[in-house]
Amino acid sequence: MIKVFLIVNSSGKIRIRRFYDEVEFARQQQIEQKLIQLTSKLSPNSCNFFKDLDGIYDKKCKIVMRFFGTLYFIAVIDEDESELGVLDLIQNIVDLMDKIFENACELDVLYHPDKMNALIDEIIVAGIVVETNIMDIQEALKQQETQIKNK
Amino acid sequence: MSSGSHLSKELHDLIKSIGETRSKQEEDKIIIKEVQQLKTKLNEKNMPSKKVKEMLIRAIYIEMLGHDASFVHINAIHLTQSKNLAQKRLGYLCCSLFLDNDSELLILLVATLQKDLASTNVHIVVNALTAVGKLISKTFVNALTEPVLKLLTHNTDIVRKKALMVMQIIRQLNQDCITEQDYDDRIRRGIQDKEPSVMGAAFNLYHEELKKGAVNKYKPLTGTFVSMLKQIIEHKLHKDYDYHRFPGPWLQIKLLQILTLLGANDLKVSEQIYEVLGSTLRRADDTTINIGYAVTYQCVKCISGIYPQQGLLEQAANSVSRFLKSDNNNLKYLGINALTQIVQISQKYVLEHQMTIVDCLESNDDTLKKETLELLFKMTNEQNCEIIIQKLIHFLKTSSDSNFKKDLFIKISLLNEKHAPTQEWFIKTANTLFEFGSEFIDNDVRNNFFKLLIDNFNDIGTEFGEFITDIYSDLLKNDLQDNILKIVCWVIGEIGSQIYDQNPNKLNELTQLVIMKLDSQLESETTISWILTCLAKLQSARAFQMFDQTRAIFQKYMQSKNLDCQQRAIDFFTLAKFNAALKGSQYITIDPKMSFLDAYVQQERLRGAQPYNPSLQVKAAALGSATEAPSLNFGPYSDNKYGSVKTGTFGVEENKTTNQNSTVPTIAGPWDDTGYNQKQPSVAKPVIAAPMAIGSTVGISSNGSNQTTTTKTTMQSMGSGQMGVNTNQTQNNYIPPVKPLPPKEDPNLKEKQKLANQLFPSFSQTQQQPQQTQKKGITAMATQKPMNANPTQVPQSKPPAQVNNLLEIDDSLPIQQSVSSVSQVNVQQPQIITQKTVVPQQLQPQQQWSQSTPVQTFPQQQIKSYIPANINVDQYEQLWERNQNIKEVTLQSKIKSEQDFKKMIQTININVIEVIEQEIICAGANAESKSCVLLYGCYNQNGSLDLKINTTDPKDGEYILALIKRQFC
Repeated sequence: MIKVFLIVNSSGKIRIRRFYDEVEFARQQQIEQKLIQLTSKLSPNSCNFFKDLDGIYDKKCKIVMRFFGTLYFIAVIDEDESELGVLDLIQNIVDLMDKIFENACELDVLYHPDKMNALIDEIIVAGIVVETNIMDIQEALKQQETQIKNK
Repeated sequence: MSSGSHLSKELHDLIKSIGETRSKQEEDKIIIKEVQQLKTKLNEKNMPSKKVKEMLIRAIYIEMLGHDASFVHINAIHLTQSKNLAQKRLGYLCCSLFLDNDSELLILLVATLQKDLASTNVHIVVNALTAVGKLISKTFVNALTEPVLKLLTHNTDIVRKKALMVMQIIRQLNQDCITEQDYDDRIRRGIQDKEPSVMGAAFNLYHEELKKGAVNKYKPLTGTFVSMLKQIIEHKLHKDYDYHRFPGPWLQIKLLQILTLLGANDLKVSEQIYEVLGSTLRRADDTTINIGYAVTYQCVKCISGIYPQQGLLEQAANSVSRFLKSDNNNLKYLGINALTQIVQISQKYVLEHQMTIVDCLESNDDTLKKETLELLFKMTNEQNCEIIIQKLIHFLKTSSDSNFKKDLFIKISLLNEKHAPTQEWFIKTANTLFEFGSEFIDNDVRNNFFKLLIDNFNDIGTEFGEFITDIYSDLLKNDLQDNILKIVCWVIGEIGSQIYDQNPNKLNELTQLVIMKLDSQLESETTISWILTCLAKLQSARAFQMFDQTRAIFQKYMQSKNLDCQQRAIDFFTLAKFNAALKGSQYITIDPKMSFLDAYVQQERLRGAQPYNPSLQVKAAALGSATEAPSLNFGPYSDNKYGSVKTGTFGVEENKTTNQNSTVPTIAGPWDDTGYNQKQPSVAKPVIAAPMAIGSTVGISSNGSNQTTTTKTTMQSMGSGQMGVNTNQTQNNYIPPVKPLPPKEDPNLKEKQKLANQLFPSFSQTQQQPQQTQKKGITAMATQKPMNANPTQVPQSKPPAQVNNLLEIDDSLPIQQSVSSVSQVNVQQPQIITQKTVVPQQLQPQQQWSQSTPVQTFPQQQIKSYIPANINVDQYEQLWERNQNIKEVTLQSKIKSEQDFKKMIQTININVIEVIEQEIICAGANAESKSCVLLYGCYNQNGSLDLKINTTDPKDGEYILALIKRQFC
């Protein structure tokens, strides 16, 4: 299960914040700050996985991080979730962003929180990855957008 | 950018100005201004909902930066009612992001959600479902269950799969909403769905159920899952589900997770899985893309999770070895993780990759290093231990990461202990380890090491002793770090002095070496204490000759400004006198049965003292008596004065040896009573804790090493306790024990019992029996005691108290005669009744000792004060037996934790002797009369509190009970 999904820019500003378990707002921000600090450990050749040994979220959890352009994609996952699977899921999300926004960049995430969140909601429901088929998701999102435009 | 419909100038400006801020204060200023603006605007009437939507986006931004945006919550809820899909979507999104599950505003949302779930517009339904998934809570789960379940048969797959997920959440929240049968049917229909995406969602539900433990229930479905996996890997799924031409990787991963849970520890189920698992692994291995590796990794996890099969394990190990050789750190990490899983089943397949694994330690990636270390630790055995430890020490030398070094240090020392091939190798490795990791040597490490040495020394004997003494005396010739010097000093003092007990030349040589070190540059003064202790031990050897030199040294340090050194020097100086006197004296024989006390015991018995009751000893054990471990509780210093002294493993060591050597407890005997007779233990001797701790090692180890009790041992065990000065005090305060000391119990048995109790608290009924019988013993005592006591109390001039005692006899007699197992409540009730009828003076509370009526009376004419009594469990036990006035009650109190209890004890101002789980025993004395107060309490988290108060003076019991009732109930 995915516990937290964050998108953060390289200067540590939060862009998307999704918590899938009930976590108090104040603690959300603590977790967030610690995760952002952790991004400094990520270098191009280093491992993208971390064990949450310090208990940022929960000691049993694992943290997967990936850097694209100016954005860090951070997922906190529980012990059952596959690290490599989530790493490719992030790739999947980035691919989708590219398709929806046409050459997505940080500003798209910033200006369209509604679309961005809708995209994530198609893939992750209640912390579980329900859909990984890019075509399906793209189709669903496109339909929504057309309907919005038509109205 | 596809559409800039809501990209307003305001949002743009906000983002821009925030982006330009340099400090948090600047940012806060902008946000406060922005919030003000939004608040006024949102309050304006007839604000077009398009504008509201734009403002909500700004609010999302504000909240994301960590500021409070709760003022828009209500607007977000309004927006969900909009007919425009984009606005509705944003409304739901804001609700999901902003509102907690327990928010009161949610109630406003329920009607909208119900309506939208029933909408004919798919996208409205989808958005509503997403919001339900996040926001649903116990309060309105019932209102939404029906509409969600209906959607499971919706004709759009997006809706069906989301509805499945929401159904799972509903079931988690409230099991009554969906029956188990219904739920099973519905997820079964889910995996039979013609759309693979719905099927994939249903896998998650099965996985969750299995994780919760419903494995047996779904075992019959193994075949279904296996054939699904087979179809997926054979490309029977639609091409859309391929990811980089790899068929449905996430579905494969999910299925593998399910199969792992199903096949765990079950050969029959596992046999169904083996084949498909093999081919899945093979196909995944053929790819060179990341997601293929993810499936490989999942296969390996599955192989090591289900009932093991050799061929598959081999295949798995081979696949994983490819990970390790990769340049990609992610793969290396997973490889290490996978091997960690395999190694738990069999080391065989991992060992061949041993060197590749070791190389991973060289990586500059922290995560990888940690995992590798963990794996190496698990896979080390006798055969590869030398080479692995060598490598690890190399990393310890070269690494600059202190956290990693500490990890390494701990792991190496554990491996060394466990797998070292020879003694020599062990010692040498330990020395190298200490040399390069000296900053990590703490008391635990040291004590552990000493214990190992002493154990080995006891097992092997002189040969080993000479060997390590040689090694360590050689070390002394070099410059040493303090931490290592301490260890060397201990070894020389402890083992050297015994090995060369009769060899004056060697002793002199060692002493010279040690004395030299006193003049070298030392980092801290505690090291001097260690050296002094070493000298003291050396001079206790029989062939020791250099008394003049050591005396000079002790005299010098008797002036030391360091209290620890000073105290030691004084103690050892005094001891030296005894040592000299004892030279050449004959062995002392010890009478373990202390038959010389028989006459005295007989005399006391005739006078009416209680005979020795071994079951009390059992009680002491059940209460976690000190003889168990790991705390040191050996006669004299079990006294709480040195409560803070950390004795570590030596407590264990000592107990073992004292019990092996049946003569020792008798030596300790009289010492037990000294602390117990000290009425004012708060006047502790101004001895610092540390010297006693180290001093104690002298006596303890000498007990351990000298199986025959010689003059030297006696001498040293005296020294180990309270040293010269204190021996006088012992004599002053010494009061002969009333009865012979009980034989100590078999410590191994007790330890086993304790262990068993820890491991199987609910099962080990038989193990707990000692405690239960003991409880009975106490209650029996409570009823028995008055009988014995009464003859002496009758002539007293306190009629009410007398009546009470008589009443007790009346009540206890029939109870004793009838059934001994009558519960405590029954014992007490008749007392209350008879008392109410017979005793008219009930209003004089201070006289009613044995009454447990709920009447809250408090003797106001006297405020009593108490002082703590520092006694150990054995003494507590003896006192309990002596005192007759046991008051037993069960209260409903505010005390729910150990802390609460201790607070209460503090308020009374007595002290805690022993805590075992929820049972606590405490002791104190009346500050004025010095009469003794013993308290046994057992608290419960629900607030019920069992108390037994045993006092010399009944008034004390009455007073304390009233105090507790008044302040804590």
